[in-house]
Amino acid sequence: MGTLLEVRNLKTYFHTRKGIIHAVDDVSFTIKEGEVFGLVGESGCGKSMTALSILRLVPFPGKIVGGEILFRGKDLLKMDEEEIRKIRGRKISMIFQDPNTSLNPVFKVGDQVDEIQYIHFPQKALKEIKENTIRLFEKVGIAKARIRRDEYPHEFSGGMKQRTMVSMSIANIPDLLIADEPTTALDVTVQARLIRLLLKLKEEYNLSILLITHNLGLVAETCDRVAVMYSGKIIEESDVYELFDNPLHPYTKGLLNCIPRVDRDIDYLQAIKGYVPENYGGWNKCMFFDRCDFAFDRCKLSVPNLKRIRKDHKVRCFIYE
Amino acid sequence: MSSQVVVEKYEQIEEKEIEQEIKREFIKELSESKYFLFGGTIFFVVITMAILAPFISPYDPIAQNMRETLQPPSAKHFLGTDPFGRDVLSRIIWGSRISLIVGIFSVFFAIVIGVPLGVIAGYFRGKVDMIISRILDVMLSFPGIILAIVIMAVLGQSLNNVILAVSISMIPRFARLARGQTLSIREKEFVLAAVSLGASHFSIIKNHILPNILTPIIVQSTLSLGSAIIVEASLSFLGLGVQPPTPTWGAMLNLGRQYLFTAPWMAYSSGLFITLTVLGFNLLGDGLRDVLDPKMRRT
Amino acid sequence: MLNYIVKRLLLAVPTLLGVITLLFFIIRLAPGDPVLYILGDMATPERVAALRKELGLDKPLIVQYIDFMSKALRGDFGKSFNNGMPAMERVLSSFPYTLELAIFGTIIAITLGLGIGILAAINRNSWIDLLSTTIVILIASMPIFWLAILLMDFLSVQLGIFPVQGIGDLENPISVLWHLFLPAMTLGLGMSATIARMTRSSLLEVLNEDFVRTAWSKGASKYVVIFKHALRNALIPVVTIIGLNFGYLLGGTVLLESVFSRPGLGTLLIEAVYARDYPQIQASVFFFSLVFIIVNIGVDILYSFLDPRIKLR
Repeated sequence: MGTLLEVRNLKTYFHTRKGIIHAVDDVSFTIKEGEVFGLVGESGCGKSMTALSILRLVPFPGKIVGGEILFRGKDLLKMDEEEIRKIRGRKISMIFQDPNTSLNPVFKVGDQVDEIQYIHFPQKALKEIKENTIRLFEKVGIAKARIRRDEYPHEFSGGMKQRTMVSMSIANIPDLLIADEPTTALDVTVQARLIRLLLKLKEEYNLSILLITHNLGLVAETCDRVAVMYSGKIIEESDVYELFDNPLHPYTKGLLNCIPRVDRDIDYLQAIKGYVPENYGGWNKCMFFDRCDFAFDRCKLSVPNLKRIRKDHKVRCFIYE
Repeated sequence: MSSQVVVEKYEQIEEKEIEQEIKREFIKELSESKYFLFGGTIFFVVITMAILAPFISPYDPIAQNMRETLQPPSAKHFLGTDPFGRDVLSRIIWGSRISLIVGIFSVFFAIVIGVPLGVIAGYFRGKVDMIISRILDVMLSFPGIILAIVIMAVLGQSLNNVILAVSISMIPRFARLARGQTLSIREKEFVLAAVSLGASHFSIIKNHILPNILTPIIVQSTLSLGSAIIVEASLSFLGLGVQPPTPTWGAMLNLGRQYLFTAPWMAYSSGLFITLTVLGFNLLGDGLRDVLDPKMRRT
Repeated sequence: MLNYIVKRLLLAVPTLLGVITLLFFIIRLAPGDPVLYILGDMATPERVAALRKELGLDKPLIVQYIDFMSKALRGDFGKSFNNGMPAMERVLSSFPYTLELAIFGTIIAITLGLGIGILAAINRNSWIDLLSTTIVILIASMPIFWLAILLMDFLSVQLGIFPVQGIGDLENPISVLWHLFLPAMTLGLGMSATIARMTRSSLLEVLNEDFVRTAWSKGASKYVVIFKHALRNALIPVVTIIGLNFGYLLGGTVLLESVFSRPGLGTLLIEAVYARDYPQIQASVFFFSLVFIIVNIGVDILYSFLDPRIKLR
């Protein structure tokens, strides 16, 4: 399994009236071919921005200010408009959190899936593309595909819309699928079906998936490797079994403790006190300091580095330095 | 027991502080808005001009002087004279009174009548809404100026009738706005909560609906002030506004049009003043909207 | 679809009836006795009574109302006090001049407005944007007759390019267009301001929507994203604005016909107002409202084409 995507020292900043937010603050990770990589964290930690940065879809007033994103060796950040356009939807696809707003309300559903195909394969006959869309719909589990492709987004349910997005994203058989909180907006039962669908497609097409989520349960089910983000930086990274068996960072431990368990007798639900701070101007101490039960003086004076503790297990915490 | 009272008092003080903080932010942002400042300056200048007219006007605006007709701008007459020898500058200054009086009063009446109508229609829905909406539809099917023209034609020319005509032509837009806002507010959860607690219709309207529709109405008012001034000027331009010899900008423009080639200062001064005044109100409205409505800020 | 159109037309009927009712009552608010006014010096008690009977003013109000309503629905508004011709006939003969002004004005307004709005939105915060926004706000603050006078001064008086007034030689289409250009340009320019503003803000809002982000992520080119995905959605509120502003357009034609001395429905109305020619006033205003109502129905139908979410109603 070769390396598919290598993110090196990615920095994405937001220039706001109150200051410069380091949304993605020197983030590095690697995704291999056929691997499911999870990027986990609470709201505001920068995981979505990382994903958007890969396809250079960072919204105003955000800007990618530094780093490299090597896709099969070529730096995506150095490409011009035409080159990156050829990658989007063809080699790297993305599905977003809210299926209800991700589809264009004035166009038919089928036409929108056709579009991603003829953008990248303009020489293909339209009839062939339309048939392919119907097949894609059937593959993702949309019944009566031939009729339904002529409907509009508001006539589809949330689950169906998300499956439409999935069919759109695999239409050109990409190498990497970025899924930004794909199940968050869906009902629980629908969530499970969607995940099963994604995993099935991954097997069939040997896709790599970058899965962005705050749901550790989902991570346990689907990912091979995981990185935990906090306030713009990765604070722990390892393979999934190792993370659950042996979490190192206090934040990761806290997150795991928050998951309600049915196999134990618990009196009350755990939570981590406080909330993720906005990263104005970068880290000047360990940003988890205020919420950490294990913090000591050094934590509020300097910034810990991401260190390899075991094979394939990195952590950013002074406890381990 | 007493600690509870202390906690409540503390919460009240906190609430007050938060309110004050919000107000301070608001004023700060307002003072940074270029639109608001520029528009506000113009507004201030024009209103001062109108109020101080008797003191700053160099001549009597209706005094004719047949020996000094159609004089170009000079030291004696800054903006020249018109075909009756009247000083144009003085007429401009006094004309601002009519424009502002009509503007302010007609918007005032339009709000006083239109907003309650709209709120009632939106809040109670059903038959009441149907009747009010139908009436608004009828009023809205008359293009604004035309409705005003008809009213003036029927009632005769006077300042009061102009105010009446302009305000009637503006009632529908405020009623529509109020109705739309009320409809969306009343679905919100805090209204349902108040209803379930047994609050009366009146108190719900007073405490929940009205404060929340305030913002768009304020913004609309400033924009409508500009509209009202233009309608008044249009009526005067057509000779259907306040009767001469009372100076109005619209009538001056109409007169100036006839002498456009030979004595352009009349047309240009009145046209510019109308435009500048309306511009001021429009900028004011834009500035207010930018500050009050965060959704618009992105654009 | 046909269903929707029929429904919309039916909804317009009570509005139309309301308009006629309003016209009936509003005229009765006028001070003075129209009969005395018409007869003037020649008023004698017998003539007054005769005219009153002829005009049906001696009957009870309800009867008069029903009479008025039934006649109005057939297009009969009586005879003009001024020249004795059927009021509606005069309306219909003047209308074409107003119509051509309105149509050309609208075409110019939409072209200019959309073009400037789109340019400003795409080049947000650049000098193009700031310049166009400034000009737009300026034009939107001008009364349309002032804009007309300005254009007239520069283009007709100073440069002598366009004629100052009239409608030209009706036999010669070029002459007609030549005379139409300046008023239509004024109307179009004046209306384009609102359209440009709405287009700009609507487009900017839509460009921030999730489905536009999806379009980018599909690898669509800049033009496809803006002109296909974004514009279709952005135009929806713009169409509404155009419909709402049509009233402003009609009012504009009234003022511009005065400035450019064009015969048309607006001039007819103003003359009728000066002359207290009530039947003519009623007929003219009724027709303006009718046109406005029809245009609004057209806008609603267009709206339902643009936004598939509406069709289901």
